[in-house]
Amino acid sequence: MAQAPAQAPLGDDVIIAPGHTFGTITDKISTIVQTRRTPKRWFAGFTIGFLLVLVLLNAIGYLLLVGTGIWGINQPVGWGFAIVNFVWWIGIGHAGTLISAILLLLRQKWRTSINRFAEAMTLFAVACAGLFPLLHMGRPWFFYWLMPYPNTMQLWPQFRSPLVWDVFAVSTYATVSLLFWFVGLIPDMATLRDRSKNWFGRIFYGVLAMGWRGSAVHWHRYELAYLLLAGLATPLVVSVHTVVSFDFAVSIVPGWHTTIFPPYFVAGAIYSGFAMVITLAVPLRKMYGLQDFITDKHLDNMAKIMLTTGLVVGYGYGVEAFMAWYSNNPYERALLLNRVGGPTWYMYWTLILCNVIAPQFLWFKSVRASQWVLFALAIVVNIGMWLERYVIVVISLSRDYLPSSWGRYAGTEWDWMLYIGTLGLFLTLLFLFIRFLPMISIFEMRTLLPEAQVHGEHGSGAKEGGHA
Amino acid sequence: MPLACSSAHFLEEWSDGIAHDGTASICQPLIAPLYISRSLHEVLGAVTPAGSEGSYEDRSPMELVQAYWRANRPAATAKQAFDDFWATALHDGVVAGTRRPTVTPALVKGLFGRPEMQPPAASSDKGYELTFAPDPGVYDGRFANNGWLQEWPRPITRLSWDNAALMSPATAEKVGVKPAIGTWKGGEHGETITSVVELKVGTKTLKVPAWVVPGHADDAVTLYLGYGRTHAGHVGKERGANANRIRQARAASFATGVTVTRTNERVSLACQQAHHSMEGRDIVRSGTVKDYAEDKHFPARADHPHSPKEGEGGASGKHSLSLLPETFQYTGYKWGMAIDLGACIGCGACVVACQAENNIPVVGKDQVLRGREMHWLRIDRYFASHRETSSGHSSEDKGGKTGELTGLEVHFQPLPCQHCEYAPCELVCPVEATAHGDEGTNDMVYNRCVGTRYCQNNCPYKVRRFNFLQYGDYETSSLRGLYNPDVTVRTRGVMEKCTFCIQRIAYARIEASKEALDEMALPPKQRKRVDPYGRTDHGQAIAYIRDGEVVSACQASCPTEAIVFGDLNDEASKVRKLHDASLKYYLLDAMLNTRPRVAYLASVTNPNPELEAK
Repeated sequence: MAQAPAQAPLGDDVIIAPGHTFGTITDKISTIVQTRRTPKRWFAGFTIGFLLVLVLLNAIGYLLLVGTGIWGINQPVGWGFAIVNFVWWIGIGHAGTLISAILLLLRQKWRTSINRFAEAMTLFAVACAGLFPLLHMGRPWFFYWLMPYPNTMQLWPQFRSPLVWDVFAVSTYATVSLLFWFVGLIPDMATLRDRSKNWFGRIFYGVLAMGWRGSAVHWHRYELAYLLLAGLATPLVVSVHTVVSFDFAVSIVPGWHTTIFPPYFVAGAIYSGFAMVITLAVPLRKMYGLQDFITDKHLDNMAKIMLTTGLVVGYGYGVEAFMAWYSNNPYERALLLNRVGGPTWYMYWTLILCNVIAPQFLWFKSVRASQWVLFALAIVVNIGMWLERYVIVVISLSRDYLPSSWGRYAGTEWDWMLYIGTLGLFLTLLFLFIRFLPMISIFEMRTLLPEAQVHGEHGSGAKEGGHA
Repeated sequence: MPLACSSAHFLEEWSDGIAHDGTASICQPLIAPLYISRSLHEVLGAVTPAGSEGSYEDRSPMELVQAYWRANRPAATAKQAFDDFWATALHDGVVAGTRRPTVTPALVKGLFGRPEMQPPAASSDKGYELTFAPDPGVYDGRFANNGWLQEWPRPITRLSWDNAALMSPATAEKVGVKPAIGTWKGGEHGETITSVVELKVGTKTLKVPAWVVPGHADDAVTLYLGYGRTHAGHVGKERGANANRIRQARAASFATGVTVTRTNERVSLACQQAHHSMEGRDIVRSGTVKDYAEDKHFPARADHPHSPKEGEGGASGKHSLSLLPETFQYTGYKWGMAIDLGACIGCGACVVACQAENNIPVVGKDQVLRGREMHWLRIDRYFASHRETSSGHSSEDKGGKTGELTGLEVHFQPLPCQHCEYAPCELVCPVEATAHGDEGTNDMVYNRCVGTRYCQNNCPYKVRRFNFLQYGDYETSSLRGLYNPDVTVRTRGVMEKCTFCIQRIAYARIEASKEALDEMALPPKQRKRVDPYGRTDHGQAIAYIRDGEVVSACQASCPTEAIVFGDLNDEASKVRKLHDASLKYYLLDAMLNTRPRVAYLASVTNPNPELEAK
């Protein structure tokens, strides 16, 4: 086994530390899964995650037993935490596919070391997100009525409803993301299969490797399939959150009924997605000593994307405020005033602080270079994006057309348990992933090495542009 | 030793009674007693000495009632066998010849000059004046165990499940009461947190939550009776404060020199509408006779900058506000409603009638605090302080604080489902659980509903009600008799809302069809069920439902006939005439193009200029 090179200060735009060979890369990543002792911190993290999953199961069980009345929803606020969390999780689930697909098509080589776990994060976030629309229904056992299937009632879903579009958008996104992730894993599964020292590893990774032998034909088909999936996934990155935003934009609730929602939601999703990738990448690379692969350059790039999308989101808030004045629509104006000065004004201003003011620090290179400051900012942005959805969903609903029906909303302990429970589910899945699957794509990292250039077509040097 | 005896319900027992003119009637039980219980006659009989009239002596409840009538039947029937007399009285419903002679009372001269008839001299005591009044819902407490009446929001206060010391904003300030909207539950639409005050009359004290009512007289407190009962049953027991504890026999309806002290205790009261202002929106429209004389279409002027043409907008609109062509023509019946805000007195009888008719569950104080009451029809109440006579269309709350209100007005607006022709709720339901009927009603298919609540969010009128928990009671056997068998009892997780009493429409249709069939034997000219408009349903001529044959529950109970229901395609119908009336307007229609089937008629008042000048 080759030794990983000693830590050395890395340059600004290095996306893989110098001195690595094919062997060291393979070793460094695969040993995390196969031979290295599982770190104590892994057990600690997994235990926390698993305990929270138990909280989740408790919250779901009681919900199914008693009904959505255990939550804080009421008239007029028919959607509360469930939809806030759904949109939040779906938003987080955007970065993975964006990094994998769009950056692949744009030939951004720096995506290589972060795409695998960003994709995994996407899948887990979508899994958490998917729970909420199911559970928020009054009668979740009839969820399949939202899908078109032949039935004796001869009824189809009502295709004009954005919720039906949602079903298609989210399930398509989940399917394609899963496929994309899995296809990308196949060559690495074969590597792990071949390096497995025990029966379990050979069977487990062998089945997942689907007979991969690394032949030229395999590689050819792999590249083609991966590129096609990337092409397929790219519009989905935009479409999912666009459709999610239609849930609001198509309605007539003041604060929901606005045409800016699709781009504004997509930008917000990428914003929160990258914030979550940074939130995970900083501790992970520390925990497993992966600074060679997830370099400061990666963090710097992600911070820049966060800044850009943060500015787009800030523009969105500005346009909402402008339109409230410019449209001369009294209901729209009342909504804005309610957001900035209503009973829950602090929600709105905290959101502005988190999503508009805080990311301005990212203009400074020193902030982008300081990983823990970046980590803190990413968490602030995650909180801000959750508040944004809360402000959109809850505050808009709480005061609409007839003041007689104005009301308020607050999540109950069951709302919080379900939300924190999904955080636990996310953590649990993530810890299982980093323990059993290579969190960084081994074979793609190898293509970043200068040696890979000998293959001519398939790869290029780290400092040169090249296609995958 | 306390004794308890379960009494039979009046529908379970034999009894008798007299009408206002003295005519006697014998009451038969409608059902066999559900539980082991005793009728009032049996209980009285048991405590009456043996041998005297009405004593129990193992007689059945019927025999007890018969015993009285054996001895006291009218002389004119003396020749009849008693069984014949009894059967006749039961059959006729009244005992013939029991009407009492009319009495012509002589006037008492100088009655109002007598000292005992003088109003009490203005109190020299420092302190507040306290008025005891029967509660609008539970009256003196006799209806305290009636869930419908407990949950029913009181007309002005919109409070339910409790009584409170009502006082004006200025008095509240003086006493130091500052109600606040609850943060953690339904807020304005559910929970208001207020201080408990201690009322002291003489040596007696009573702790009761204070409630601020704009328009209440200053330095006075009103307290409703009927609360604080200890043995009212599981719905009514131990709710609110017992006003009787500080009432005095010499002045049962009021007390003077009352001390009102704020305590540090804060309690949550279930108030279904704590937001008083219309926020300058054209929701309840009203004007004066002068406004009407200037422009008889004044209510619709708030919709458009121009004066609208006859019949524009809304369900009866000849000109659509939409560029899209009409998608569906209502060639059969076209049900609609009109609500005259000038006639509505805000009494709220319709709310309870609707609840009884449609098996609407009572959810209890905790759920009301969370803003989840289920009333399909609600009466919105707004306070307004200033009338804009110049533009004439609405009243506006100009004062920021309630304490500054002057010239206070109260507006009521009954709000059922508007049955919009372009219903926002229908568009967003993913499973088509709410859809438009071909007679224009916005129907709700409970079986199909999966409970996404999207329709509730998208309803601008917020009339949809969701079964957040299992509110409908399937289990209590004694409640089975309560339900209207024509209406589904809903399960948890489904949405519900006003159906325009669709079961009553169905009933009228069946009756009309039956009569139409019977009339087939008659010559065509004598047939009364032939539709005058020649309308057909799937190629078949429809049986004509005459105007007034479908009466919604709210309409039936309205004491001022403010609610009118009927067929908008029937040119002679009352509702059609009201939809064409100049005073009509459609709520939010100009903004949202929902085209409601409910027309509101703006109220027109004729204020006395001398009072106005005050």
